Amino acid sequence: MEEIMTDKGLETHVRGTTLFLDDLDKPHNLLCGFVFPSPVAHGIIHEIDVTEALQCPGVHAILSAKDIPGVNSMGPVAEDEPVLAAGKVEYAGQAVLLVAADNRACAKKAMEKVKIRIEALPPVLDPQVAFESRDFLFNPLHMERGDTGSGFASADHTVEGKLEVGGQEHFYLETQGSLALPLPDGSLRITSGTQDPTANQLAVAKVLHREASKIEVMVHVIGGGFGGKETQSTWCAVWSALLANACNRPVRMVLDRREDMVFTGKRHPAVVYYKAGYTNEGLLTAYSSRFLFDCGYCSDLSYAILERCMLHLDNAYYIPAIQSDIYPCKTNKASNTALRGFGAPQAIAVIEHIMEEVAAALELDPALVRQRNFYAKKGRNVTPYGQVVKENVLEAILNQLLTSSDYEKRKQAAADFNRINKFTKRGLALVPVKFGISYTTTFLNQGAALVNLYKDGSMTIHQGGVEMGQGLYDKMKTVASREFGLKKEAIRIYPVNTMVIPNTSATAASTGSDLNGHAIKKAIDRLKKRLNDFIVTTYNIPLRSIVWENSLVYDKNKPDIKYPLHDLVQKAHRAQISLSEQAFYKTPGIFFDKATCKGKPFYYYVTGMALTEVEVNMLTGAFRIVRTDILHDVGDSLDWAIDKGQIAGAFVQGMGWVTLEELIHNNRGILLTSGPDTYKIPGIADIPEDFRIHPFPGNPFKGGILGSRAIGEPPLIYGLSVWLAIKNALSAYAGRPVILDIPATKERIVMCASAYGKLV
Amino acid sequence: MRSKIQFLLNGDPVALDFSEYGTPDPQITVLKYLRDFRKMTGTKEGCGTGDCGSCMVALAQKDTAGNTVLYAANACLMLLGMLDGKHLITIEGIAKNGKLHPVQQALLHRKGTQCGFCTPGVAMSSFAAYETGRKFTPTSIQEILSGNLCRCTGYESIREALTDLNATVQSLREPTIELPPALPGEFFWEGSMGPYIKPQTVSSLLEYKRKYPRYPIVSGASDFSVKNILEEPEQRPLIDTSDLEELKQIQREEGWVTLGAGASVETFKNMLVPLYPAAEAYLLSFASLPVRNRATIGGSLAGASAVGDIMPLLLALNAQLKLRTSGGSRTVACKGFNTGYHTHLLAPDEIIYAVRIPIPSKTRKLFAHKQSARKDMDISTLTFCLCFDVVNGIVRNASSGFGGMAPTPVSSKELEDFLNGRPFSEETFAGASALMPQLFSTISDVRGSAGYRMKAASHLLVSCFLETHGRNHDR
Repeated sequence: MEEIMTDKGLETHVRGTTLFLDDLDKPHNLLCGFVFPSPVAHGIIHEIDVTEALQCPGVHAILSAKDIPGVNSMGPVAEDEPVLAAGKVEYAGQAVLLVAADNRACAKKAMEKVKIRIEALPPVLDPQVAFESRDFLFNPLHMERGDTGSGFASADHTVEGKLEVGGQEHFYLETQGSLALPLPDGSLRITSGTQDPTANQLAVAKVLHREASKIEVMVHVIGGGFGGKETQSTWCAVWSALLANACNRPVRMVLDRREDMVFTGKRHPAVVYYKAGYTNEGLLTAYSSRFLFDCGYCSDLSYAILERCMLHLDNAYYIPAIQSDIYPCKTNKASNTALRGFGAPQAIAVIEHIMEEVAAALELDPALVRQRNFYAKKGRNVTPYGQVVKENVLEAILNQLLTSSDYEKRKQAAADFNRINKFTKRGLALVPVKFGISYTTTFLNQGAALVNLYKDGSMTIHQGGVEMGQGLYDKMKTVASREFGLKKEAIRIYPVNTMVIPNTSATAASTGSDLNGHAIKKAIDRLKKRLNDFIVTTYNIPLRSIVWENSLVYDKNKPDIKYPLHDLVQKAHRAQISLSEQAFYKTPGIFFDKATCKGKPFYYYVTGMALTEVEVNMLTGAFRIVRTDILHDVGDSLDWAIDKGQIAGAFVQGMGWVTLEELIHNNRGILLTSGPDTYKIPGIADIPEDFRIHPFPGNPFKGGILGSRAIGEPPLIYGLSVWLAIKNALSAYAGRPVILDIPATKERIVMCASAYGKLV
Repeated sequence: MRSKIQFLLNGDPVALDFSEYGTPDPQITVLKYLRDFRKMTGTKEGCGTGDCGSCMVALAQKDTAGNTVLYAANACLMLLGMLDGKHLITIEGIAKNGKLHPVQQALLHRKGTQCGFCTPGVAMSSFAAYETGRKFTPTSIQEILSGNLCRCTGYESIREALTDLNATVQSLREPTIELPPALPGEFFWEGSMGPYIKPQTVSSLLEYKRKYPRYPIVSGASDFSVKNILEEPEQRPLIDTSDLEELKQIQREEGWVTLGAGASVETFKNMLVPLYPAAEAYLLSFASLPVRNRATIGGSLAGASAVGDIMPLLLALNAQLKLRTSGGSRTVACKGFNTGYHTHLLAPDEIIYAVRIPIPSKTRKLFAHKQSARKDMDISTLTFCLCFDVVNGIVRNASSGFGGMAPTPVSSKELEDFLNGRPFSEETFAGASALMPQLFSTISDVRGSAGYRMKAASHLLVSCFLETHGRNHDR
């Protein structure tokens, strides 16, 4: 077991003293904000009458679309997302009215008195139906490299089929919320549970018709985000701001679990048609696909999500000829949004499924088929979009994992187990990941930081990244501590505030540590440079032998004489040297032409592999994860305990997506799995019984912050290994490869097993 | 009659007199009390329905034998009035003089916390286990944290943290936790949410039930509180039996064990498993440990849900129910107790007093299976329980219980007749399996399609043979 350093930063978590949004002291005069949601999935609003509702005691305002002072639009990219429904409703749960009341009970009574007449129209709930009627939110994406026609012609075999991939609820433990406080100068201070305070700020400004400079958005830590609080956190911010503005009183709006699950979007479900050609050796010659993404009723971030899908069709494999059409189907559901992986998991599921199909058809080891198709170090190393795969360690990771996991022996043992057991079968599956790091919308790859040094040698850092459990604050402290030679305890990361660091990008796309860490490092470098010159003259230390360490500075040739940092800082202050530095960072060398789908969209790739073994009971569909081995390249980890936790969490979240978690709507478009009683995320009994997570050693990333690589999203892909291991166990039972859609619920497993032969 | 309760909160005495202005209703949840009235925000609301465990607290009280017990419970389900005479411990109360409790230290050391929202709840479930001297094995950890959801860590670091605690955890013991003195008299308070009545004896309970037949009897409040959060009724009158010791007694008589209907499901489990070891896995999948700690056997039966997990087991066990009114009592078989969808044969003024379980003969076998989407804390898609004797290789006295296959939990006489007298063999059970589609017509809902229900139910007859036959591989 690794020795793990105790971290003071998490101590408030275990003490229960961390203040989440709803734990903050309530301002005087506080009102509570609530949403009156559309009861139908699709319809025309003919009449809304709130006269009687407004008479209810404890009710202070009821707002509809016509009460919006600015623009009734809060979409992050397109103008297709109203703040409040106007004229029509497009999903069950869409906000129609806002209510400010003393408490929930008052608001509930008022909502019962709202007179609303909606003419229900038939909802579109199936992306296939939307596809057939060409009901798209924007132009479909198309990508092509090489000639798939000749690729299929030259193939020894082809495989084609259809795969359905389900959606996923974020289920962050802290639901969405916001607290809007009107200030005497006419500005508004919003404390928001968001991954993107700038998006909150600009949306509120637009909706209230106010300058952005008057809208202050700040974020304390948030109780999980996973992409769900990237754009859709804007809603509570905007709604609470509207009510606060109307009542000129502070308004708290915190969704309860059911509201959160019904109102907000999920991971996009997708229906995928695929065809792949391959040689007798298992090498892919061509791959074509059609993805029908279920986007919900408006575009939100769907364009970027479909784009990331398009850029991950290949995963870790060189595919000479590839073409894909990706369709943004409009359905009458909540607008699907960012969720860890952001379109890539759907793409990778398909290519990994194909790898298993090819291996099964050729009776080759699936690990071997994968290895043969990996991007090579030379030749066969250009992605379909023209980026060269550099620093490729796929082969090395595979070899190390196959050895450390005892792959060959366990594969044999599983086959032996399967021979003597009729209804219980074991399956193994290996899944690699090659995940592109950077926003594919290139300009978003920027970060800024403000570093303030105080006269006692302590430091406050302002930066744009939101702490949501991923350990960002701690990593930023590590960067500052190592770069400035400062004790970690002397560093404070200040809650993100749009009045201090403007125009931030969302804390998303796994870029938090990279963008903000680099900005902090740049600011510290400048500050140090300035102070180095001062040290030379003040302490008579030659520039090249200055050492900053543990809140001390000294001459490396005279280590006996150490000057405390506070002494240096005080002297510098008296010498009128600025102790504050701001810096800006942009990711270098990346570009992407959306029209031609070519460029270098990613600063680098994160790679790694997972091997999972499951045991499945064919009679009940119950399975257990016997063991999972993960070998993951994080470069020089900023903090392995944090990274290991991210890998475990991402794996289990991915595993939940492909097994337990199922979104079910009825035929009227009402979400039936709208609470934790019906929507099941993994519990502690569902995780691998033997869970081994290791860093791939010795591969620092020179362009990364202190040699590290991003961590957030890539390991989610490893969850796919559970699905494919179950598929392989089912195939062992059926005696031939089975098609297993996502999620592989017990129901799917039982029905799949019985479809391939009468069990009893 | 009194309108006052008293309890300890993290060691400090609290006395609430509901007749005083500003005191909230006793019907509000402990979670709401802590967060809104005490400004103790360490206990979180993640769902409000007992599913996520972010609100976990620990409770100390006396059990029926007079020993102090300490257990984890969901603050979002428990009502304020239920704190009377107990010691409530929250996340704010486990560090002593600023020094972290060992479970806090372990979670911190292993980074068993990421966003931190579920962490207080995880810590409190672990605290209750630690302070009562449970060992932290892979299996016990699953049980201890069966009521806690975490979306960040993937649980691995939490599992490591709890495993570390084995170095310091004491052996099983009665915790030394102070309890407040009991207040004399019966608690009765009618506030803005309606009457909250806490009878001290069964005869008093029966008298209230006669006077107010419509008031629900509430004990674990797992149904009551979930209904409240979904429907938000203004009036929530209730008769609270959670501290009615007379309703929790265990008695043994010739061939039978009798357990008071007010006993917790966890108590029921601990009583039943020595008699029927095969019931353990089944009862471990009943909700979560914290819910089992408070939810009662009588509550599960009176709820009369089609997918309640207790009744199918009782049907298979050929259990009986003792029912009482202020005027008298009767004993009925569990078979026939449910009369339709969410209905049963209890008269409006009648209560379930106790459950009678037959002590099994050596030849008796039990199979009990809950089919649900997730292992823990899930409502069943279907349940199947079967009890039978094997005498000279022949199945005798089969008794079955199904949940989720009909509007109420049911037995299948046809199935039992088919099995009785046939050899205890795979063929027999495969034959019974093939019979299933003739015996039931299943429905589709959010927990599964009709076809899946039927398939799984049919398969379970084969599982039943394999498990009761006891081979270590299945061919």
